[in-house]
Formats: sequence, structure tokens, C-alpha cells
Amino acid sequence: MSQTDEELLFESLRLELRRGSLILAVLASLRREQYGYSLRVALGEVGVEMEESTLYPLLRRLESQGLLDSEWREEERRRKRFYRLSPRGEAMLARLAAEWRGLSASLEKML
Amino acid sequence: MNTGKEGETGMELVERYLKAVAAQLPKENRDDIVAELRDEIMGRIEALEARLGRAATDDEVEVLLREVGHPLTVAARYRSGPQALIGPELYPWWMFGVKVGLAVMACVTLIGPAARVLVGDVYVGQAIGQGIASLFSGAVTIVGLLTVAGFILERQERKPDFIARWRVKDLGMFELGGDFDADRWGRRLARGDWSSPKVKPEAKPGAEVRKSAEMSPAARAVASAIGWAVVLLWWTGLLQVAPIRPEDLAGVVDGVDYGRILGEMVRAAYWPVALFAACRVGFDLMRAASGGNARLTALGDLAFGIVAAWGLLWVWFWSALSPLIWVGTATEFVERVRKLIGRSGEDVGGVATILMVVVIWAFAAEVVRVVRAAARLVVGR
Repeated sequence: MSQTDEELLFESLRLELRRGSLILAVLASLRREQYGYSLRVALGEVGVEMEESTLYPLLRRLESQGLLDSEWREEERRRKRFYRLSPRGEAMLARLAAEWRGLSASLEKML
Repeated sequence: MNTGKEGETGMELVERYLKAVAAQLPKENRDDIVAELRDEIMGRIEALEARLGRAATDDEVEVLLREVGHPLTVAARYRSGPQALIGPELYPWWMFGVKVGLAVMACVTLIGPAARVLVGDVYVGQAIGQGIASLFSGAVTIVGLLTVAGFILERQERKPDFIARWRVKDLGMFELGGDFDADRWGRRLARGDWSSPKVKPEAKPGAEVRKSAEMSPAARAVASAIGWAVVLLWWTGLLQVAPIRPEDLAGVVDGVDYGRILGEMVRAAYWPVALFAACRVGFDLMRAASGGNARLTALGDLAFGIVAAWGLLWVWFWSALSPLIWVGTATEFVERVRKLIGRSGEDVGGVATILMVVVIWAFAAEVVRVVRAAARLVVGR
């Protein structure tokens, strides 16, 4: 297998590995109220890059599941949609975080 | 590709882009999504301009929009429901259906030309040409219909039971599928490996027929449903085994125009046969869903056997074929068969006698089936 094939394979496996953690990252970031763009920038700064076409539909889905609340407000001369974790979302985040830590601890032992 | 129309500013590019996205979105939340997307894009442009220390050029805006994604892709992510024609869960079923459907269709398609060659109606070359044309259109039809079925199933909230609640004893049918492994066949054919003893068992449908006799009741029901569905499609002309229609199967033999006779019979029996096949498919599916219930199967065999037997009586006494095959007594019957076996070249009526035997044999088989079904209905096994 050539070097580029190796890289491509690694990239696709890496994406698959990270995919499941995205929801957790979004929920955790929304303990503090954010709008889409600021959320994406904040996630990017901690190394969780997300495309718009992934993030925005995900936000809507989480909201329709009752895990997020949102409202339109004007800020910096533009109307923005602000998202924040709902009480249900906080409870769900706590459960998912426990799950993540457990998984991470057992994987850590294996690796 | 790089820039929009002359004089189009970055803002106009963004608006055009958003319009294209909006067109793909459901009406109820279109404005909401577009407003949010606009804010995101403006945020990105502002960040870019802050970094550059100047206004972004049209090219830069275009690159940025391309990063956001094609309108079709972006809009699709917002849509709920499956994003695939046939999803990964259903795909293996679709593939298997295609394999079995194509195999059955190939058999049905090839019977037509083979029968016409035997009757002497067409030459072998013609038959091969017609066969290939029919195979192609038949294959397209089958794949198309299965895809439509898969598309609909994929969009149901609950997937059908047979996907999740399967039983090991029903798996015999899927061993069958192994014989249709296109890859293996392709490789063998490429090697010119026609006659190796390993290929032979696979090339003979007989082996498959015997295998099917070992299949569980539910698997047999599914296989029967698929087979009858293909027959139904062919009969009603939906499956274009063109140009061979049921009435085209025969030609003029022994001075008798079998094409005309078959034509009349097909006209008379069109709806009854279509109804019979449709009921059969429905019943088989019901049978498969019930896990091959023995009493239900027996009841169906009884009913379908009686109808089929009645159909054969119709052929015998009242159809256009009747004058040719009808005999009043067993002695006459034996006499005709004896004549057929010992006939010399100029004797006429050979085909009629064969048909006579076939109809009587089929009638007897149906009667036996009805009796056995009745017995199974009583015993429940």
C-alpha cells in the first residue's frame, strides 16, 4: 500500500472514530449560550472541526429532540439564532459524559 | 467558473447561493434555515476580511461558498428521513432479490424461444436474438421494479419482519443465492472453464430444484411468491419478454394453427389467470409472514389446486384446444398414445396428443395435490 493510500485510510478511520464524539462536543459547548458561527469557531479552537453542513442540521435535530433551546436575537447588527442546552439536554449530557468516560477508561487500559 | 456574472458583488453571490439552497428546502422552515445560514456565511466573510485587512474578492467569496457545500448537499442534510435510495440494511435483500428475480426471469425468457424453436416456428438464430433482447428488457424491468419496492420499504417506519425475525431453518433459500455468484461465474468464464466437473453441478438447475425441496416452508413460500410474481408480470405483459407473449409460444404444426388457438385461450383466460397468479403471490407472502403455517399452506394448496384443476377441465372440455385433445374414453386415449409412440413421419396430430397427455397428467397432479392438501389440513402437519 502506498503512502497516500495509507494516509487516506487513516483519514477515513479517524473521521469514523471522531464522528460519534461530535454530539457530545456540541452538547458540552452549549452549556454556554452560543450562535452557530461562534459555536463552530469555539469547537474549531479546541480541535473539533465541524463543517456547516454537519453542524447546523445537527443543531436542529438536537433541538427537535428537546435537548436544546433556541431563540432569534439581534446582535452586532444581525439577527442570530442562539442555542443553549435545555434541562433535558443537561441531564442527557451528564449520562453521555459518564458513558464516554467509562468507554475511554476501558479503552485506555487496552491501548 | 471562478466568478459570477460581470459586476456581481460578493453579497449577490451569497444571495444567489442561498436562493439555490432555499429552493431545495421544505417550505415550513425554509426562511429560518436560510437566515441562519446567511448569518454563518456573513460571519465567515467578516472573519476572512478581518484576517486580510481588506474586502474579500468575488473569487474568495466563491471559494468560501464552495467550502460551505453544494446547495443540494447542504439542503439534503436538513431533510429528515433516509438519505439513500436503499440503505445498507435493506441493500443485501435488494441484491438477493435481483439475483433470484433475474434467474427466474432468464428461465421464463428462455422457455419461450426454446419452445418456438422446438415447434419449428423460428430459427435458432432468430430465437437467440429475440432471447437476448428479451433478457435485456426483462432485466431492466426487474431491477427497476425491485428498486421501486426497495425505495418504498426504505421509507417505512418499520422494516418488514423478515429482516429482523429470521430463523436458521429458513436460510436454505440463501444458499441457493450462492450459486448465482456473478464474480465466480465471471472468473470461470474468463478462464474458459466451461466443462470442469466443479462447474457442472451449478450449471444444472436440477441441483437447485432438489435443494429447494429441502427448504423450509417459509423459504419455499418466498421463493414461490417471487416465481409467481415473475409469471404474473409476464402474463400481463408488464415484464416485456418481448416479443414473446403467451400466445406467441406456438406456431403452425401438423396443419393446425396453434398460435390462433393459444391466442383465443389467452384472451378467454387472461383475467382468471392473472387473478390466480396475483392471489397466489399474495397468499405466498401471507404464508411466508406466518412462518410457513402448515394448515394455512394446506388450505391454500387445496384452494389453488381446485382452481387449477377446474382450469384444466376448462382446457379439456370448453377451450379452443378442446376439439383437438378431447377424448371420450380411456380406450381412445390409449389408442392415441399408442399411435404417437409408433407413429411414422406422415402421421398427424402428434402435438395434439402430447398436449392431451400433458393436460390429463397435470389434472391428475392437481387432484393428487388437492387430496394431499386435504389430508395435511386435517392432520395439521
